[in-house]
Amino acid sequence: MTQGIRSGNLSPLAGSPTAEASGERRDLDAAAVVEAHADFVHSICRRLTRDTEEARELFQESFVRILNGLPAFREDASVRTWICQIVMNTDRNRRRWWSRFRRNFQAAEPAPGAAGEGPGLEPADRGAGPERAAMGAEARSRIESALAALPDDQRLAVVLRDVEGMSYEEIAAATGVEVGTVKSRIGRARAALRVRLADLVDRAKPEASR
Amino acid sequence: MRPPCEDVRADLSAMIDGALSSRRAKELDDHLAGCGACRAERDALRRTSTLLAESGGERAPRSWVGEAVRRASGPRGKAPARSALRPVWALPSVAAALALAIVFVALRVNQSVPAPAAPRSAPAATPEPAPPAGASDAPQPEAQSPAPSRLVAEAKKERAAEPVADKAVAALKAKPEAAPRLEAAPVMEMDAISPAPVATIELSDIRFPAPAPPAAGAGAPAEPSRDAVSAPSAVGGAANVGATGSRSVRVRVRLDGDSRVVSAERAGDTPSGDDAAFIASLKGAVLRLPADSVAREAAAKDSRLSSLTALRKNARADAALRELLVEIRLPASRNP
Repeated sequence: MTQGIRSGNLSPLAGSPTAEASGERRDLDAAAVVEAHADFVHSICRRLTRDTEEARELFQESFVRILNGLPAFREDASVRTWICQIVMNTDRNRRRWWSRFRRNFQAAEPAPGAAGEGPGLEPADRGAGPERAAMGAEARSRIESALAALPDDQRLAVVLRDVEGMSYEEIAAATGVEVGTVKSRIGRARAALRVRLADLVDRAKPEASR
Repeated sequence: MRPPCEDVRADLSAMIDGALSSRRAKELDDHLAGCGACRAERDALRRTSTLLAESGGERAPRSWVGEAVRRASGPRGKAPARSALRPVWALPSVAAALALAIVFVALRVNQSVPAPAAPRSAPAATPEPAPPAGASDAPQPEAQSPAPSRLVAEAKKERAAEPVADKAVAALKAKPEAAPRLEAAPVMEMDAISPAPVATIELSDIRFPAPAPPAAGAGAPAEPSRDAVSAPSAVGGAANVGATGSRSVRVRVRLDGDSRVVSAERAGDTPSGDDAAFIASLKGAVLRLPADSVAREAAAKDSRLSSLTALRKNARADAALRELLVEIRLPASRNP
């Protein structure tokens, strides 16, 4: 999954003064960057947030930052690591704001987590990803809720590894921790998921066993 | 010699990723060769990993991608590229300047409007006696007093109460309310902790008066031009759930200078189509602010007040925000 995306679509923009000079060119490149990384950013955003609206906002905010940061992006760095860092920073800033907002204004409202909460805007955006084929919707939602039950750091690590196919080193760089920490987060996450999804795991065809 | 099972299991996950040193991998192989339980555990972990991988591949919704592309190629995209050397610490200044610009515009609007305030749609045009119209709403009687100095005080989070302008209130009460009015009070609040401060505009006490009874509405629209934007709100006020005949909506806009995400929250009664239209247009207005309408050089360094002076020089920010404030009240005018 990592292969192919790395740098390829970014190179026209990164650090090139001529690209910056041409507004039209810039727009095209920006669109290409969005297209190339939308699925990856979407995947992280969904795992970092609790509802679709929140995920959508994080997604949009992250892309603004990604595109603004492109001129400063060094091509020797891993694109996904860099993008992941931006999304996580954006998320952190948002959470700071949200926590203050909740403290100030939502004291009287029902606790978060209730299904269907959120501003209820733009219902058309709810329910994502029409292109889900390989796995049944039910299994998918089981997996998602099992993921959601994990601590944030474990969830992110295991998603970046197993869903997004990043290496331990990339994940360590993206999340700002040691490789050893990444290993143990992934280990704990898999162990928890293996228990929580025991039936699915046991049903999965044992092609891997030797 | 075999290491114990617990010891082995701690590393099984890393093992299936090939992330162990060759010596450690060899140790584990030796153990697994003679331990069926650990082998089964390894296989289960491997299948868990495969299961997760298969659950991936979800595409980002096209509408999200479209929005991101649109933003990238909209007015923002054509803005002068931010210097590559300072991509991050430009953010605080942008946010600060935007917030300041809003206060500034609010001040100007107020100065040009001598008697703004919160007009109550008084159904059946009954003039209430003593207390100012807002007094019945629990939170703040001061919501009636949009004195410029007060706005600034709010910006500084000093909640110094100022006497209500009695005359203004009286004049307003006497004035029949024919056209629905929207009152939006921009109040900013800077995030002092965040490295990239976030400007928050709060628009509260937006009143949609009830359809005026024919008798009361006979007066005149009372020039609902720019007067309609006034500044009666206070930071952190509780929701004014609609008094008879009017509703209050609280909208909170989050502008972080960079991305301008608008988060709108309603407080009070149930959402309605009007609210949705209002919020949608608010979002649109904020998104259309040109990126360079924000005076980066006017960033607050020590105090916000001193930056107001700098901000005055930025006509573009001023104009854009004025436009925003005007736009905000549009849906209210359409309100029946």
